[in-house]
Amino acid sequence: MSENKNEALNAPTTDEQAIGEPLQLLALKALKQEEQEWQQDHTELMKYQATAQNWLEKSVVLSRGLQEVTVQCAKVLEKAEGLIGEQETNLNELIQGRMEGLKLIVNKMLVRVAERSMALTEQGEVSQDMGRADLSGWVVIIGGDSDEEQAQKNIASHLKQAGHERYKVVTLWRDLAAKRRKDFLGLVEKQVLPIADGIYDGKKHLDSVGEGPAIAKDHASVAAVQEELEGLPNMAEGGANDMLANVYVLLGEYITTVLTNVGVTPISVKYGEAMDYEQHEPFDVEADPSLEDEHIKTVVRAGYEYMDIDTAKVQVLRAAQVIVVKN
Amino acid sequence: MSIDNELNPVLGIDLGTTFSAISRWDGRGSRTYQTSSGEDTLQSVVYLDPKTNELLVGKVAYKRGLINPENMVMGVKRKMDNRGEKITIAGRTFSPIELSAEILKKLYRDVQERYPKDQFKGRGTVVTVPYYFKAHQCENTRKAAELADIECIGIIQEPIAASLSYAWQLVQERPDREYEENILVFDLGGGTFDLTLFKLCQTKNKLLFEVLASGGDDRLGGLDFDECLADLFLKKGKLSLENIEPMLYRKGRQKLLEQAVEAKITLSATNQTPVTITDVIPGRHIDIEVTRAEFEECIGHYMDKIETIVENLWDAANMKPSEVDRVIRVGGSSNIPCMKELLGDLIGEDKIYGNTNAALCVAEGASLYASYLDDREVFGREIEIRTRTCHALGIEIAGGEFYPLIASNRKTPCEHQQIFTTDEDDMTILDINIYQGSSKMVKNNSLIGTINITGLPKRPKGQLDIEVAFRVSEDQALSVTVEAEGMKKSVAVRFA
Repeated sequence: MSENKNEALNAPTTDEQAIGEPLQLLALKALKQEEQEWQQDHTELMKYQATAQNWLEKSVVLSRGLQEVTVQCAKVLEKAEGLIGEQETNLNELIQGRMEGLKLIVNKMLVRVAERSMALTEQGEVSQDMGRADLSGWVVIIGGDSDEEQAQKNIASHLKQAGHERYKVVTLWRDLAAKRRKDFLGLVEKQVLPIADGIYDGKKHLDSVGEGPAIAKDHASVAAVQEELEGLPNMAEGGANDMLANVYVLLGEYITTVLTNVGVTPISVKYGEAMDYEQHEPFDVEADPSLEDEHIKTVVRAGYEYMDIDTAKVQVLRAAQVIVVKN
Repeated sequence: MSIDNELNPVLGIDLGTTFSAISRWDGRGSRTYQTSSGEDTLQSVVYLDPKTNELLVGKVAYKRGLINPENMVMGVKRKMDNRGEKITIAGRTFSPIELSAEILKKLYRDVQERYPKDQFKGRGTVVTVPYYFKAHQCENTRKAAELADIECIGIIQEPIAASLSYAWQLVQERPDREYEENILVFDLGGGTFDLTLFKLCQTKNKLLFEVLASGGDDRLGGLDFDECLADLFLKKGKLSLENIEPMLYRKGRQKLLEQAVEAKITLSATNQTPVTITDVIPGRHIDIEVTRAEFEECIGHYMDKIETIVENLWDAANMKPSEVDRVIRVGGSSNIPCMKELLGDLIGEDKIYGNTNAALCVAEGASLYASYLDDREVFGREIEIRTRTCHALGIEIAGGEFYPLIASNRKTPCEHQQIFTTDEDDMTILDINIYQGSSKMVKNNSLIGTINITGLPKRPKGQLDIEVAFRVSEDQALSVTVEAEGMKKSVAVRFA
């Protein structure tokens, strides 16, 4: 049974004209009671089905985005690699290390997470059958020969049993919604964000160490790459360092776009801003007389937040790690 | 049957050493409330802001404590056994009860704030305690709940709570059947390992939980495995974090540990996993494959410890592993395949209960127990819990030796008397020091009380009979009575 279709639920048939006998009156009363309990469970079921569906849709968007970005990033890397290969055989250690890191990010981490994300898009088969008895069914449950006391016992027993059966279905959907949420957020936090971190750390390393690239510039081929690799600014002005810096920027933008499309956005952190302990996490403390205590000096690792569709609130997925001033 | 009311439910709280959780029993099943930051559990950390005098609890408290650790306190639960303990944070002094109350308050308030103001009020709450908690520690936990303005209707031991949903399932499936089952609760969390073996006995009128034996190690858990795995990554990646500046070390270690957690989870389902970490230190990367066998080998010494603790349990309970009917796993690390294999080989794979949430089953079971206390008909019978002593109890004798009067792992209630005598002539004053522990020498055990006897009749050494009687009640309270030639002195001893 498909998870999004509810029309298969058994609709009770009420024939009040036929009621007249005491047992039939009991049956009608039981029918109404079950109807009331069924409605409550059904409302809850609908809520969990909608939540499960929402998280599934997010996962589908995420997975598609990762598949696409994997291809895009591989192209960028291929071009960059080709360019460097054409220019220089004796690369310095910095460029070698950075190229190696980029290859790991694109060819391994990104490829793996794109593959794993596909598992999140599987619908799965989950029962939504919350059947209930119709009037004739209740007459049978009560038992034609029963006295009223026995009939009441039969009603209570069946209502309890039916309630437990419905609850199992509600629980299945509740658990499915929770699992989809957990899997989605887990994949983003534990596998996509390390890619974003790798890009950030790689560029930071390049910026901090790289001065005077070891390869010769070839403006013609650099310009050609620039044209093909949309959005890489100032490629022609620099050498391998600048090109790699731009590759990092481009890859970072690709990943950020994938995340933004599923409602995951970087937490904005400004130099000198006061700590917000919901959004920021101290990584270390440093003295800085130019800033007040408990104000931010440096970001060590970016933070991210997401729109929680269960509560319609923005929640922190991962706090930004920062160096805080403590004088 | 208990009527569920969303605004007035029965609640269960797992007041943990590192994390806490709150659940509700809705009449048919349990639901765990998420914290205000969208998580299933709350960090059991309290921070006092010296500027505002405000007490903060949870992740925010932890983060603030990273800058000013002197204003933060963690692991309050470990201090609940010391009635005189005072904890000073940011210049203010608190008792462990007051700080535990703050954690409970935060859990409860987060639930309250989900509903319009003044509309939510728990009908009754059960709070969990570790199996080894003594009567006064349970009482302290109850006081913390009262201080938090939570109506605490009961206290339940964590392993019993963890297995209640299993018992509930059995009662639902076989309400009329009478049976006995031996149940092992294997609780391997982030930092502690607890084993509890008990008998579950279902009769027409009663559901009896009788603890047979317990064991564990309060310094062993999943965090140790993460460290081992992180070191394995470094070794296989031919990298070292030695002699690098502290900031880079911490950043590199963080990356390794985060990936270790991921790899540990993946290796629970597959035989090998790739591990790629860029810029562990700037410019140096790790790109390796790790197999389950390598992981198990690197945590081998911890596995040996666990196996020894499990072996000791059978001795203490005088039972064979094959006599266990059901295993309930608690704590994330109990999902690691080699733990499952250990239990599967010893007890049988088919006996491992899978239908439980290892991280939340304690809070969920507590909510079920709250439901029972709220309406005794929930299980269709009475619930009774019988426990045992966790440590030997005895007195100091000559030479600083420990003389146990009540052995560890004894069924409670229990009692024992012993005649002692003096080791000096004409002693008129005697201090009897009461200890708990397992060492032969008292210096290695915990002093839990002293009875001072004065006015003893003068006798040559060895000529005065002094009878010492120990009695441990069902709720683990110890009373000690000393009698010497008609003089009698009794004291109720708090295990501190």
